[in-house]
Amino acid sequence: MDKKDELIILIAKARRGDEAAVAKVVELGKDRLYRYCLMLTRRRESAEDLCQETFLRALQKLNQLSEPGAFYGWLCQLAKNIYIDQLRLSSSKETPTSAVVPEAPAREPFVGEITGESDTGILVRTILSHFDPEDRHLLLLVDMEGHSYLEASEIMKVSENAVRSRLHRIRQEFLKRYKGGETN
Amino acid sequence: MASQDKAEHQKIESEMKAIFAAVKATSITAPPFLQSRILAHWREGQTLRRRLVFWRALSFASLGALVVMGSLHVLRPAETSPTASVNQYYVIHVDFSEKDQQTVSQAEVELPPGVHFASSKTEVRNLHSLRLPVRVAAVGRGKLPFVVSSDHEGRESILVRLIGPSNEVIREQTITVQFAKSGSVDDKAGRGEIL
Repeated sequence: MDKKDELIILIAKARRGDEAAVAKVVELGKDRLYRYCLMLTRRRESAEDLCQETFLRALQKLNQLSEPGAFYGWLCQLAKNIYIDQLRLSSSKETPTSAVVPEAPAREPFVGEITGESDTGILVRTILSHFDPEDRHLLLLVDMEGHSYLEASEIMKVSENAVRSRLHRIRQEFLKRYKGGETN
Repeated sequence: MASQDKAEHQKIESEMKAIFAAVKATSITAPPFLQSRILAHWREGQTLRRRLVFWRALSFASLGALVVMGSLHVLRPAETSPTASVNQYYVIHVDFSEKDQQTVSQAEVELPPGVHFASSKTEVRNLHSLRLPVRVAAVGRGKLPFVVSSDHEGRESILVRLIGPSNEVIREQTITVQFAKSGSVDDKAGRGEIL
């Protein structure tokens, strides 16, 4: 049985409230989701909270997952939506009249904050801070999580052409900064 | 030109994949406590959900019992007017004669002030009168049920007009119900018949 089939069976059991299946689903997905959340939020504490919140919401909404095989993409989309909601909430509390959504400042010291992270990882996180969460999400879905353009379009509910053109723009900007030696 | 664009797209895509492959190659893992925290919250949520289901079932069962008790009071034969409790739902059955069953298409129910139709919608509760379609087959033995409540004690007259297919009034009848304080409902409640 391959990993995808195993996951589908586990999700079916988790939907029925099987605690062992729930624990296994979390175990299989936590590292991957945590890495995604880290790249999205760029902060360790925010990534931990977001990862936890995403799993809890996902476990409540498992019955809404129409394709268990698309679990990880669905998880990332959920995390992105929760993150944006949290940003809007904190924005409305702090600066109710402002249209700009505040995020973790790009100049935070990342070096040494995440155990095992390479310089490339630190640099990528720094560069990602220049993109809005939707652009970050798309980039991570395709280039880090390995989803195809079609899968990304289904996850984000936009056309495949929109995904391609948007991603091309984001990648060009990203590489410009990467090659330019973006620093803190 | 198109092939040049395509080649450039592919080059950019390859570069990006290589960068993120390097990111994934590092061993970033979720903190060890994260899984146990998620499971603890999940278990708590499951316990709360089970409690909610239990209390919801209990409250529905109680409401159902109240409605049944009210309709039993209405249907039991007696010489006096049926008695209902204030601020509790009460089912009234309109009985039809055999002849009515052939000619009646609607029943208009008109309530006195302080008596309300039972509904989750405020606009229906606040209505003074309501027209109900009558389908003899659907109502079975010629009964039309509707549910009311009163916010005060006293004897109240509910007017029922039987209306024909051309909107003509076939007959008007009055149902009298005695509303009493909760706990003081008379055992000898009457049927909700048209008098």
